[in-house]
Amino acid sequence: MATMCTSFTPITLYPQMLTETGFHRHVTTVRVSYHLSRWATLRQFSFTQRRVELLDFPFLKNFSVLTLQGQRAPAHRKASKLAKRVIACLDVRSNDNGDLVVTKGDQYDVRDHSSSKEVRNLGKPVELASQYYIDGADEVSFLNITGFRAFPLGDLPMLEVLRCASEKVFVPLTVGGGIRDFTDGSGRYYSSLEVASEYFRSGADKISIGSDAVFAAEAYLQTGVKTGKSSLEQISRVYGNQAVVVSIDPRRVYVKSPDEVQFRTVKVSSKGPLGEEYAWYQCTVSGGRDSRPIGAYELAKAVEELGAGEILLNCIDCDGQGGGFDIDLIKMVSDAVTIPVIASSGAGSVEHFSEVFEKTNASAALAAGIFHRKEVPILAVKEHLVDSGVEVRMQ
Amino acid sequence: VRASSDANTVTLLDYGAGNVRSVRNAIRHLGFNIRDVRSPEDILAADRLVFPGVGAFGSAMDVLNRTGMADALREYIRRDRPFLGICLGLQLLFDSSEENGPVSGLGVIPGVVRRFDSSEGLIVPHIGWNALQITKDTQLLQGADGHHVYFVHSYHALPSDANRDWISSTCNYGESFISSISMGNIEAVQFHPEKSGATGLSIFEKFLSPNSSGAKAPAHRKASKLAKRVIACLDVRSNDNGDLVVTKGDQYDVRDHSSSKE
Repeated sequence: MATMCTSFTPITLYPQMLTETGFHRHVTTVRVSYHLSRWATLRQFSFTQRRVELLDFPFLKNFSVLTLQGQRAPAHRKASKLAKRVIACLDVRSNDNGDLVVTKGDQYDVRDHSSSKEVRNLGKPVELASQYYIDGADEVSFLNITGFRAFPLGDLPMLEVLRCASEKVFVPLTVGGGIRDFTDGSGRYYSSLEVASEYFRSGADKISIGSDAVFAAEAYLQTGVKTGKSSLEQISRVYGNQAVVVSIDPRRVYVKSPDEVQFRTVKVSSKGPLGEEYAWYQCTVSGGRDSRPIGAYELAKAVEELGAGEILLNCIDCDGQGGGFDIDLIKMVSDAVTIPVIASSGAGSVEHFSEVFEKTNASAALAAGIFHRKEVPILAVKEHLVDSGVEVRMQ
Repeated sequence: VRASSDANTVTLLDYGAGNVRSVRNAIRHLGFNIRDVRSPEDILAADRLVFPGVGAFGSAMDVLNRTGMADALREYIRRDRPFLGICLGLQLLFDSSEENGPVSGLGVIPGVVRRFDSSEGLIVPHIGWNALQITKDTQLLQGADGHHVYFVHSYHALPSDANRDWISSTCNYGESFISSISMGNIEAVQFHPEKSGATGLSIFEKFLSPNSSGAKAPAHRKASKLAKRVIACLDVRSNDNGDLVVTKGDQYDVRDHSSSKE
């Protein structure tokens, strides 16, 4: 690695110089050796800034930096070098005509607020998934936000969407929504494992469980017994932990002091409406409609023990707002578990992605609305992350 | 003499232990037809064989041994016929595995397949996008150095003196493990090319149509890759008068080879 600097400009190092030589954001210390005829000097400096200016040699007019050596940060939770993932999510539901459409609700209300009150249609799922793949999404997630209702399993339109998408999308596919025991319109009973199996056969690499995992975690925390019968436990036993994602939909509840509740709280970075300095994150089920007596922290720890391979962490307060991820929540949960956490809800700009990777242990960040509405291209997110020194996959 | 067959057909060994839909989709997407192996003879008759191992090592070897396909695979590989193993399809080439075992493998490559060591907090399975470090110049992985590919596995093969000649790339997760092997026409990868985006499809394509790959591969490269930079370097030193000057030595000899020797 050799670079140079002329005239009196102090030498400036950028993260790209390091990533090109195989070092990444985890680097805390970089040694630069200056090759000169009379000196070979090593200097150490912190590489946490976006760029570093070296002012040590004001008397030099010209010099060259011959080598850059980096040192990895002390293992930051995991000794891995996995790239951070950017996940494109499609919220899919059936519209009033029975067709599957991609939609995006704000805070889980998908009805258009204009006069027609139709479900907002944001394009056909397969075409959109395929476009996200081409655009560089590291994973594509389908969330069937209306679940099953009365479809017989074999006729589920979601299965056809998966079959077609897997012919065009060559990155992992996740599908969520309605994975629970259910009885179809003709009275036939399906176990959640059968439902999941059908999804896997149709091309899903992972399935995501919401409400059912909340009930399983509540029961586990109450009894301390793993029954092995929950959908989470059954599916992860048969298909492996890596195939099961638990989706958490919490709502922020401000409190004046952590003693007010039995759940894990965080000191919030911006105070509540009554000046509250703390909040806990209450889990909900049924698409945010019902609140449950369990916090996001408690749920995450419990489902990790029950066999979840990954946590998809939403936040109802941030959903659709475009104001950034809930860093307080994501930091709390991603520090609490060892399985990967996917940050979701609130992405509105490329900076929100670098922020969540810089401030929390999230392994991936997911967005739906900004990609659907083409406000922020996936490639722009990736390029910004590279510029910020975050390791991501580039095509 | 082998019966000539359709150049657009690839033989797939799917022994029914799991879901190889994605591999089939990738092969079809690249414009190839699939012929499924139904008997050991189909393996020996193949022009190009893809072996996406799925399931556990022990049960896979049970099926292969019981059906006579293990012997056919060894013979196919001994003849140096075009072969691409994927994931467990790489691991089965080794002597044995600790998974459900120890269990003997096909014994083509020296070494034991072991579980990732999670005692220091490493998350197992290894799932996600990790970068390849190419260690051997092969056509299959041309241009893939430093590229991220998708892994999902709990067991891995480690480099050793005995298998070093086989290794074409390694990957780092806790330690450096074998991410691909290559010897003659025998190729195998630990990652999932069918889930590794354009990089993965390009690797697949180089196996399926090795002669056309040179022209096609660059088409997958997007403008998103950082441009390689050309850097001008000025070697600076002080001359014998104490002034800083820009110089250029040949093999570190900066003295001018003309008479003045300045």
